[in-house]
Amino acid sequence: VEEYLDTNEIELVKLAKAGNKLALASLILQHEEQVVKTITGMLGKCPEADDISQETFVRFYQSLDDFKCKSGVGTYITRIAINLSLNEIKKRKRNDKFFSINSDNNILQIPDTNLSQHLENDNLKEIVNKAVQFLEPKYRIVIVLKLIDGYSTKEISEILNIRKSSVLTRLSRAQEKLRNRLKFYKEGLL
Amino acid sequence: MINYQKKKQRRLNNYLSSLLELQKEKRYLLKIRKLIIEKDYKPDNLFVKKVLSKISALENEEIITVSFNNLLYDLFKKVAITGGAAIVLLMIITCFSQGSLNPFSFLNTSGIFQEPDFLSCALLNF
Repeated sequence: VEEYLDTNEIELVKLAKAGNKLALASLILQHEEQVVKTITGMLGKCPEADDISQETFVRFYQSLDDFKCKSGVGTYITRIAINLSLNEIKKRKRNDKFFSINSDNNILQIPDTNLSQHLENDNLKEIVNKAVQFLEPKYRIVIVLKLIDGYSTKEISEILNIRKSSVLTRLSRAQEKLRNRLKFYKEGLL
Repeated sequence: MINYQKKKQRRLNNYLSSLLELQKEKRYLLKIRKLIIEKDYKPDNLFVKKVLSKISALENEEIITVSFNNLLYDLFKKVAITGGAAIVLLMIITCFSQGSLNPFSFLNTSGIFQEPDFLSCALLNF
């Protein structure tokens, strides 16, 4: 794989299309962290997140022939990752309905114990990330792409196929929702 | 356009520096952002291997499916050719023995249906 580290992405895609597994491995290596970030951001840390991250690259491999290099490989793979995550979220919703599981969708649990104990950085990280998980998927996507993956507004609009102004609106609403959810922890966050 | 953006940014900075509440708000949002970004999102060490093995398994599966489909197609072809040949042979034999390729010739029932009395009897009984 190391010999392909300096090869540019388009060349790697061409080689992978031709069946070169090392080129494919190199592409996976370059984008694995990004994909894991996106999917874990969307679904939280769970066994499905690993499977879906792997499935993203399998789908990418299967659709290599359709990939025309118009957008970057990262953007293309992220789009697949987002679509698979949304499918998983839909599946979870269906299962929750079917098995009548109360998923606490609207309540962020406030711990009974001393609040200051929960304001350590690690706990705050957990709390904030839990709050992200409670956002509606359309808001969660923009938060994940912007804050976790570090995409620009333009790139997000390309990935989601929506206007830049819509991305900004969603981002602002998502922040507003996050702020509301985290109001009990405001002191710790300031 | 750039000037307009700069002006806008300057105005926002002025607001920000004059209002404590806004500064607090900014700190708050920055902290939330930082906490979201800080979370560890490390992929598994064997991630690439797992993906490649999944792809290989999928390809093998595809090969098996394709070879099974080919086998099925070959079998169908053989049966279809044999069946077709049998039908043609039957037609030739019928043509020679009955002197016609009329459908009734195959069933050897031409006599019954050509009888006008049989038809009228059948219709009356119905």
